[in-house]
Parts: sequence; C-alpha cells; structure tokens
Amino acid sequence: MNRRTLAGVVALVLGLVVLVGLARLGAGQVEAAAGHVAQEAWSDALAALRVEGPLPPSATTLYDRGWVHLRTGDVPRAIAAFRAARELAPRDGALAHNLALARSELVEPVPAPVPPSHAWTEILTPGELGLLALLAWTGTSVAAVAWRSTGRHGPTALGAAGVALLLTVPAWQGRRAHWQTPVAVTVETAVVRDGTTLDAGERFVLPPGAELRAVARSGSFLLVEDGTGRRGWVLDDVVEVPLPGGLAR
Amino acid sequence: MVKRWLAVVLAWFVPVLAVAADVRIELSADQLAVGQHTTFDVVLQGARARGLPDVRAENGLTVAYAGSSQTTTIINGRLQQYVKYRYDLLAREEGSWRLGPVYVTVDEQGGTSRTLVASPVQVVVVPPGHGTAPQGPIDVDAAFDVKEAWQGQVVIYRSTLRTRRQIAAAAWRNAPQAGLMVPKDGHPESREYVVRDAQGAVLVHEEWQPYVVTSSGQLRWGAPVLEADLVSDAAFRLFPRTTRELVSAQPLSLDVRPLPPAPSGFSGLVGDFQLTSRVDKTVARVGESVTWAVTLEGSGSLEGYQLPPVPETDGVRIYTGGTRGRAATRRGEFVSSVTYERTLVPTREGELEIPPVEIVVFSPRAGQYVTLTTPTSRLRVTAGEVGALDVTSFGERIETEDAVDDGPRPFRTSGPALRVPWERVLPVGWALAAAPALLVAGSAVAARARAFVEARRRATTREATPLERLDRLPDDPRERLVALDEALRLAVARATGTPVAELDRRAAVRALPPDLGARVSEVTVLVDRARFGGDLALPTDLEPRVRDVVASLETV
Repeated sequence: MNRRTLAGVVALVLGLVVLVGLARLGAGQVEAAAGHVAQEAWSDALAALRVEGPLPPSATTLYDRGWVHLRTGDVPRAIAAFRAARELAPRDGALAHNLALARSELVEPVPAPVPPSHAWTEILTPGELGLLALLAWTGTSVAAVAWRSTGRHGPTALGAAGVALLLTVPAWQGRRAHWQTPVAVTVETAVVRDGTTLDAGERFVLPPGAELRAVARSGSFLLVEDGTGRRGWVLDDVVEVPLPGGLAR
Repeated sequence: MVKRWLAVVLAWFVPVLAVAADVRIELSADQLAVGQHTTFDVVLQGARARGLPDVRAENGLTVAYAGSSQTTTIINGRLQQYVKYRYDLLAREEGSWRLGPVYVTVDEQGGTSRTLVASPVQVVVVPPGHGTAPQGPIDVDAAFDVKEAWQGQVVIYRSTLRTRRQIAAAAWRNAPQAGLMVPKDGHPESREYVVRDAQGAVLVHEEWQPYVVTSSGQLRWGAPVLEADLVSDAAFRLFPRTTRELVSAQPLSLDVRPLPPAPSGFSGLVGDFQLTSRVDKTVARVGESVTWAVTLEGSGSLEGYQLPPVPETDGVRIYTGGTRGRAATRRGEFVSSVTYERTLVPTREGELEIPPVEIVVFSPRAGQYVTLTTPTSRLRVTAGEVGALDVTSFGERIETEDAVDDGPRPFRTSGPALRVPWERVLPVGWALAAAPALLVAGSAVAARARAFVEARRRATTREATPLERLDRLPDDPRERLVALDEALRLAVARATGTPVAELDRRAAVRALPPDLGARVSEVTVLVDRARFGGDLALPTDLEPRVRDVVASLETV
C-alpha cells in the first residue's frame, strides 16, 4: 500500500471517528439530566423526562416515561412510550416485557398493533443496519484502492460492494419507514375520520390503548393506520405521539 | 443426466399445462362506429391448438385473421404458455352484435383432442360519426358510472381521451376529490387501444378510478381538464415540437343519498357482496385441526372490516386465523374480497354443525339492508387417535421469564436522555465511504471504455498502405510531391519497422539491403529537390521511380 492510499484510508477512518464522536457528544451532554429521577415524585419524574429541543428522546427516556405512566395507571401513554422505545432499542428484553405487561392491563379489546415495516427491525434499528452498511462501504473502498495499487483484492472489493448494497437498500427503506411513528389512543373514544375537518365522516372509532402508526400530518390531524389496515384522520389531541419526528407541528 | 432433468421438468410442467387450459376473447373497444375497425385477441392459455381458432361473429361484424404470437411466462415457479391469435374486427352495420363464441381444438395427452370454447362478448356499433371518432384534436369525457349513489358506496370515475394526433404527455387536472376517498388498494385501471376508420387511427385512452363516497347530498365538482402536449412536428426529430392543448370535460355531479336508519348488527359495509363458506374436510377426528374459510366478495370497500365473533359452539373450539384481503379495479368495476380463516378443533365425536355466519350490509342495487348468511356446514367427527393428528398451535410464544415474573422491569437511572438521529446523515456517510471505491471503479470503467473505443477506431480506420497512397495522388503539383514523400517515408518506416515519427533517414537507409538503400537515397534526393529546391517541374520519371522503390520496399 503506497503513501497516498494509506493517507486516504487514515482520513476515512478519522472521518468516521469524528462522526461517531459527534453523535456520542450530543447524547452525552444531557446524560445527567435523565438519570437519578426521584422514583416516588411521579409528576417531577415526568417533567424531568419531558425532552425539549431539536433532539428526540432516547430509548432510555422513553422507557422511563412508559414506566412512570404504567405505575400511575396511564396505560395508553405507557404503551405509546414503550412502543416508541422499541423502535429505538428492539433487542431490549426489559422493554419488551414492560410493553407486554402494559398491553395486558388494557380493559377493552383493541385492534392488533401495526406489524413492523420490515422483519429485521425486530432485531436491528435502521441506524445500526446503516452503520453496518457504512463499514461495508469503507471496506469496499479500502479493497478497491488496494486493487488499484497492487492489482490484487479485486474479488474482495466486488464482494464487499455486494454486501454493502445488500445492507444499504434495506437500511434506506427502514430509514424511510422510521419516520412513520407509533402512536396510541389516550382518550375513551378516538374518532377516525375521512378528512381533516371535524365535520368529515366518521370511519371508525378506537378504544384507549389502540396502537396506531402515524404516517402524515395535516394541520391538527394525523393520518393513522391500525394493524388491520384501516386508515383515517384523527385529531392529534386524542393520541400520544412520543416520537414526533417528521410529524412535529 | 440432462435428459433426466428434462424429464423431471416436463413432468412438473405438463400437468400444469393440461389443467390450466383456457381460451378467452380480449377486446378493448366494445363500442365502434360503422366503418371503424380495431383488433382483438383470442388468448389460448396452457394448451396447444390444432389449427386456427374458429371465431364466430354476428352479421354486423366482419372478422379477419391477422397473425399470432406466443408468450411463455413463469409464475410462482410454474410455466405458463399463452398463444395470442390477433384478429381484425370491422363494424359493418349499426346494432348490438355478438362476437364469439370461439372454438379451439387442442391436443390432449395420449394423442386425443378436445374443444375449448371462449364465451362471446358484446360489441355495440353506432352510426358513423358517433362513438370513438373525435370531433377536434382531442375529445375528452369524464363521468361517474352512476348518477345516484348511497353514502359509503364505491363509485367508478371514468376518464377518456380520444385523439388522432400523437401525444407526448397528458395529465388530468381538477379531478373530483371533495366528498370522495380512494379505497385501500383502489389503484386506477387504465387501457389504451387504437380504432381505425377512413380518416386514420384514433388513439383511445381510458382510466377508471374507484372512490368511496363519504359525504351525502348533491355533490358538485368543477369540470376536469385534460392538459395534453400534442406532437406537431415529429418527423426524424429527437425532441419533437409540441403544442399544449387544454380540453375541458363536463362538470361532474353526483346525487348521494344518506343510508336509511341501520338495523342492529349493521356491519358498516356498503356494496353488493357475496358471502361463501368452505370447510377443507368433511370428516375429521377429535382434536384434529380443520380449516374453515369464510370469504366476503363484492363491489364495496372492505377496508378494515372484521368478521363478527363466532358464538361458543358445543363440540368444537374455534380459533381465529389469518385474513387475506385484496381489491382491484377490473374492466371498470371495483372488486374486493377478503377471506377469514378460522380453525376448528372438534372436541367430541358425532355430527358437528358449523354455525352460519351472518353479516348485515347495505346493498346499493337493492336500496336496502340485506343479511348475508353462509349455509350451515356439517362435519362428521370420528374418534381421535393418539399421535396421528394434524394439530395447529395458536398460542403466542411466552417467555418463561415473563411468565414467572409479572411485575414491570425496573426504572433506569442512567443512560442518554436524548438521541442524536444520526441515521439521517447516514446517506452522507455512505457516499463518503463509497466515494474512493466509486472513483476507482469509475476510472477503471473509463480506461476500459477508452481502450475499447481506441480498438474500435483502429479496427475501423485501417491506415492506407504506401502503394494505395500512390494510387490516390492529388492533382495539385505541391500536394502531389508531399504525397510522394509521405508514401516513400511510410514505405521506409514499414520496411525498417520504425514508427514514421521516429524515422531517421540515414539510419533507415543503412538498415536496408545495400542496393535498395542506394535506390531509396537516390529517389529521396530527387523528391527533396523537387519539393524544396523550387523546381516544380517534376522529372517525368519521378513517380514511376518512386513507385518502383516503394514496391521493392513493400517486399522487404
């Protein structure tokens, strides 16, 4: 490997380190704010867990928020928080347990939850898969540069490119599906309507705790879909949106 | 080995071809004016025909065979063969005429044959000047399939354009929206065909969009407008010149009646539906799983509908299974269906009566609520046999740990509170990481491309030999001398194996046989003197001498 190649690889690795470091820095600055919440002062705890600003809450914050809601008997909001946390930490066993527990405490039957957009999101987040894709692309570049310099490692570069493509495509799809955020009904009866006005026709009603997926926003209304494939518009006041993401007002 | 594989493949496909044999008529234009003609296909699927199909048509129509084509596709791993027999159809007399039936004799296994029959289709023939003949550059039409509808009914919005001109692009504006909603899977269906008459070809494009009517009352919409780019000058041009035409259809209206007061148990479904039920076995053992499928199919939207729960029945346990739904627009009609699967597990011997399923729907055709009921099915249940049952499990997987510990997992006192959504910048990271590889690949591809182009150029542009150059000498004396000099230099270069650009005349002469070298020097001096000595009066024997030397050099 000649000097130019080495310099390129070192620059690439340094760039990645800086990227990851920035991500960690952003998260690390607020670590102290979330920890050590007084477990008995529920309102204080919720206030401390209420995140303001441009960055979304982490899986830890959502988990704790769901935990507080569950302990105070607000099961629908607990479900919403746990469900959103699972999007960020799909392998968290305690989270899955608490979500199942919250669901079991619902009194009225609710429609089936919306299934995951892709099966692999039960194991990985789109970000994690994307990171694997990033590593695969880095490997591809290293192998390609080595092939250019030495004439060897051509098959390695091709194989790495194939792996990178295989990882990038689902990561991209999952990243797009990730903007569709889970929500849960928090009122006695949520009316799902045909349009984005209060006099629009009623399509169906949903009981508290019903898990939905919000796919679009128009004014004060969210376009939601339930696990049976029904769609319609609901007022955003009647559902809990733990991860506003692209649906923020 | 190959023969064995071929035999296996044929053994797999041949029964499919035999079972799936079918013939049908595919006609796009179901309305023609007198004198117009179009094409239709007789599609034979999964069989081999003996001769051409026998197409019958009533007196107002004339049918002529135009050719055939064959298509083989693999669907779900199975081979399907289609043969399309194309016919020309001429409308001769006004009226409603029947096209078909079509009889096709196909080969059977064992050398026998049988006749398949395609159902006839109706063709309406209108007077000349009506129907599909456009009056201007473009004719448009937009309308609902009904004038009156019920709230919740699925109506079909049909838009049509007809033109004799070539269209580069076309888009509808101002389509109706208020008070309507596209049902789930309600994708539009479109078709395009050509009708010909004495003035030429007419392109017809039709589109059907299903809508659920969500409001009631007198609904009014503005006129839909077609914005089309008509090709005005297309001959031999890569980018044809177009002119934009805006053509307006009639304003739309729909009289929507609210549903009458609903009876108890109304499902909320509006449409003309059929309810069927099927049990996959008639005899089962105690404890054996039996699949019971209930299918609801019809012209309304079934979006999100769930079957009512089945009451507890003595002698059987009923478990809810999967649901399969689909909807589509076919030939201008919206058709949706959903199949609910339930699994029955008999718990005692004897005759088991499967309870009927009742669904109350509103039928737009009848204008009233109707109750759909599945017929009662019966199942004979015999004694069970240990270890010989086909049993399906329905319970959710339960984590052992969760089952034992039913309290919530503890509150977390550490961990990041905020999350940097760095997956948003991942595409940038992918691009940065892949950039070196892409550059390397790009440069490699470019080098290959350059080499390819160079090789092609060399292959196609062979350099003329010195003698060929001497055969094509220009008329101008100066240019003629230059050409003589170049031919001589090229011949010397070729004889000594030296590139022309690097030719050293003295060294080259030394490399040649002595007598030939002397002749080359002599002729070269003559040419130089003629070129650079100002003596444009060429020696009369210069050209023959140069040619003689060049010919000698070519033999070296």
